Formats: sequence, structure tokens, C-alpha cells
Amino acid sequence: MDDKIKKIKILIVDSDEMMRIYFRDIFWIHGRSNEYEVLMASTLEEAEKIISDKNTCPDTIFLDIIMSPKKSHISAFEITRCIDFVSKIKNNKDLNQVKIILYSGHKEEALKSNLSKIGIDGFLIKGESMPKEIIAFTDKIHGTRTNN
Amino acid sequence: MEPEPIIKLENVSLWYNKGKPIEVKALKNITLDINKGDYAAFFGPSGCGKTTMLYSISGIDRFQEGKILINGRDISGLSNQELAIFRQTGIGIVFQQFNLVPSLTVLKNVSLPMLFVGISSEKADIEAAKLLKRLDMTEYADRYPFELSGGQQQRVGIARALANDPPIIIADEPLGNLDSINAKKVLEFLRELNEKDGRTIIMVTHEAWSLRDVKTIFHMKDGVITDTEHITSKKTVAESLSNHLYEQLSAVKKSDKSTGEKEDVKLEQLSAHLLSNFLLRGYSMEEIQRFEEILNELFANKITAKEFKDMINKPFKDGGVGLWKKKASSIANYLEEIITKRKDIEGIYKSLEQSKETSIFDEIHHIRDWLVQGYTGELTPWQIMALDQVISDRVRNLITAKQVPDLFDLSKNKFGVGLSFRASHLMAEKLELILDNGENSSKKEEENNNNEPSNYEEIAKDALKKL
Repeated sequence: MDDKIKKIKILIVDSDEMMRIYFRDIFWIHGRSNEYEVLMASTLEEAEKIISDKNTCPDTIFLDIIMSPKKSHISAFEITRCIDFVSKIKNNKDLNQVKIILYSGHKEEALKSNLSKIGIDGFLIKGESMPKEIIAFTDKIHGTRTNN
Repeated sequence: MEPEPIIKLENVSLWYNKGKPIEVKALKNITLDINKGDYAAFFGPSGCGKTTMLYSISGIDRFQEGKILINGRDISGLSNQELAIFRQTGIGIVFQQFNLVPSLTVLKNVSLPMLFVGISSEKADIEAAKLLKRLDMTEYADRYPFELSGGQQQRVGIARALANDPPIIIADEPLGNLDSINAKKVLEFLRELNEKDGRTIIMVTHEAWSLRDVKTIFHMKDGVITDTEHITSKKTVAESLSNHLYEQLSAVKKSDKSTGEKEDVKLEQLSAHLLSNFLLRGYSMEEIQRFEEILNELFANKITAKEFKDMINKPFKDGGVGLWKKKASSIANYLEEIITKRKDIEGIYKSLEQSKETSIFDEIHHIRDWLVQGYTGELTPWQIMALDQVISDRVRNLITAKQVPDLFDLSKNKFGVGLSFRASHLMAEKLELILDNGENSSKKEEENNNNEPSNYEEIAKDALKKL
């Protein structure tokens, strides 16, 4: 029955497995699996595959700045890749309706301003959002219910 | 619209030590639904599997057969990481023993579960402060658990259970270590979490009176659900429990064919069960069961009121319950009143709720307050705790009158109270005045206690050996 109702597809892109599971499972834990389907990707390449398949293409992407393997901190390289990823989607007429939210612990204003210029849809600061705040934020951007 | 089950168990079985000679089947083919927004309780005696049930639902105990579905998803298939996230964000557990981290402040105890899911320390502290405010514990935020009373620690325990805002709250005998006032506060708060927040509450208890706000009761015995009851506004918990007890006793009587006697289930047998659980709140299950046996003898007129009083006053090791004289007298008087008035079971239940009889924790606190009256020194929270422990052990006859001043005098680092010699003896004498167990001057005790105690644990062990 439930499968026939069109669910909102969300893609979480994060290199940290625990964070991916956490983000996905809070929708289940709070009984919202009937409305949201959360897909996960650990790299930008994996994310691109999911986006390019029309069966899995999400309505919204929650994107962290993906750190390169073996690196201990985010550098200009990762930030550039993130900006490129966003602009690629926003410049594609088949995909530019996909909402992109930067879901990251990075709060630099310069980054925010750059991403805003290329059409990013919002920012959610990781580490400052409680489970229900994440759900409420997601509800808000999709115009669905926000209870509790 | 039918409410949807937030928790669904399908043929769940759990064994401890499966395949070994000591194998125990703790849950036997359990199937049940708990709806979203329910306030459910698993009710039954010690060892019936109710705690195993809680820990299975929480993903802590792994069951071997069946399915547990949370919002339609089977948790038996979860990976360790998924289980960890589920336990941290899906379920908040309130423990009987509070389980606070002693080296962390109250605030940090509450914020800890948030750090596990990547919440920043600053944000976690802000959220923890909000929760402490809700529990009326703001002023204790910077204190350490050992500086708090049992009731305050339990409120911190509840705040911590709410840390990641879980939709399900599990309370494992949450009132077990609380005095009456704090027990009531906790019950009120659990009701608020259910009614106001809409959270699903699941409680495990063996105390009938703590079921007052629940909506569903799962009666458990020997690893199975023997009955499920949905409490409606027309049916009170008291009615429901009494019906259940009637049925249980009827079943016992029906199966008891050896005597060939047809016996009606007596009101008194039901009352004995309820009364024992209530009047001996805070005592161990063994003590409560012993009390119930003696009470049944009284109800069956096999013993007189005087004999009853003497029996419950006798130490546990001698076949009694070890109640101190004043408590034994007040209970005997209270029971006499019930017997004389021949109240029906619901009446008894209601009068129990209003009874002045308090749990052992209240009594110990009252005794301690009385003992320290006139004491001019300062007592640290640790000393108060140690003092309560000695009083509790003496009240239960686990230690002798002679050991009391020694334990009061024993230094803190040997787990004594650390009072001066004079204060120790004064307080010990006062304690014996109020207890008046009639055995205090026993020569036997003196003979048994010629050696000076070296530390508290040794004394307690000695006392336990004698039981």
C-alpha cells in the first residue's frame, strides 16, 4: 500500500558512515518512512550515479563537503569539488529542480556566499541540528507537515 | 483510523546460554503490538522476562527467533552501527539504578548521548540545559551525581533519556529506589511525556500501584504474556488488576485437584498480593513474598494478629520479614482496619494509594533526620548516604545493634560514616530506641561480634552469611 504513495527522495552525501546512517534512520525512527525515502552516498561519484538514474534521482540532496581519503582537513581542493558538484546539477536543465542543502560542520561565510551564488537551496549546520530539527527543516523545504 | 503499532513483536523467543546445560528460555514465542502514543506496562514477578523484553525492544538483548518491528522495520537485521544509532536516538531508557556517570556533572551526563550522534558540545550543553529546566533541575547542573538525592538523580536520568528526543521511552522499574514523593513525581512526569509529548512509554514494574496511568498492561509470567488488557476510561487500573488476579487465582484453584475441595477465590488472597506489594515498597521480592505468605496465614485465620505482628518482626533468617517493631505494629493495625471494614478490592486499592504507609526509603530518611537532630557537625552527601545504608541494614536486621556504632564510627575510606566516637554511640543508642527489635541485647550477637570490624563490606558479608 505504502509503496504506491510517492515518497520524497532524499540523498545524503557524507563520507562518514555513522552520519549517513544517523541522517537516514531518524526519519524511520520518527515514523516518517512512509513519506521520505533516504538514499546514501559516501562519495561525489556515487552521488552522481544515483542522481543520473531517473529511478533514484532525489528531490533533495543533503551534501557534506567530502573529504579526500587520507586527508585530515578540508582544503581548497575539496571546496572546489563541492562547488563544481553543485553547479553541475544547477546548470543541468533536467536536474536543476533538485534542491541542494549544504549539510556540513563548515560555517565559512565565503563558502556560503559562493554556493548561494550558484543556486544552492539552503544550509543546515551539522552538529547544531537535533534529529527533530533535521526533520522539521526537511518538512519545511518540501512544504510537508511539521509536527512536534 | 486504527492506530499504527510503533512496536510489533512476532513470535519472539530469546534464550540465555542457548545450547548449554544452563540454558534458559527467557522469552517464549511472544507476539504483541504497542501502538504509537501508548503507555504500556509489562507487569509480573521477578524473573518473568519483563526486563528481557525491554532490552530486546531496545536492541540491547539479541533474540534468536522471531521479529521485532519498529515502525515496520525489523531490528534483528540491523548492523551494529544501525543498532547503535537506534539505541541513541530511538529509545530513551530510565533505569532503576539511575546509571549516571559519576565523574561527569549533571549537565554533562545529560548532554553525553547527544555527543554520540555528532552534536557539538556547545549545542549539546544548550539542549541539556533545556531538559534540566523542564525537570526543574537547573540549579543542579554543575553538581556531580553523588551530591544529589535519589529523586534528583532519577530526574537527571529522565533528562538524559530525553537527550536525543526519542519517540519511545523505556522505564525499567523507575520507582524502585525512590521515596513516595519522588516516585509520584516520576509517575507524573512519565504521564506528561506520554500525554503532552505524545511519546510511547513502556514501563516494567512488579509494583501494582505504579500502573495508575498506564493504558495497556501486559501481564507476564515465566517468559510468556498471560494476558493483555487495554484500560479504558470506564475500567480503572484497579479493576483491571483485581480481575486479573481473580482469574489467576481461579486458574490455580481449578488446577489444584489434589485436595478435591472446591474453594472459592477469597478476596483476602487477592488483597494479600496487592497489600504486600504496596506495604513493603522498596523491600526485596523475597521479603515481599515472605510477607505475603504470612499475611495469607493471617487472612486464613491460621495465626492471630499478635502472632502475625511477631512473625513479621522476626529476622528474615528466622522465617520472618525483619520489619522493625514500629513498622510491624503500624502494618498490623492497618491490616486490622482493612479486615474489619471488609473493603472490596477496589476500595483497598484506592485506600492504598492514599495510605500513609510509606516506602522503606521514606522511613529511612525520616529516621536519619531524627537521628541527626542536635548533631552540630556538618554531614557531607557521602556521609548521609553511608548513614542511610547503615540504618537500612539495621532496619532489615542485616546487621546487629552492636555493629551500628562501629559502622557510624568507621572512617569514610573504609565505607563507614566517619562520625566521632561519641556521636556514633549517641546516634546508635537513639536508633535502637526507635527500632526496639527486642533482640538488641541478645548475648548471642555479642558472642558473634567479638572482632572489631575492619570495613563495611566485611561486616555486610558476615551478616549476609548468617541469613
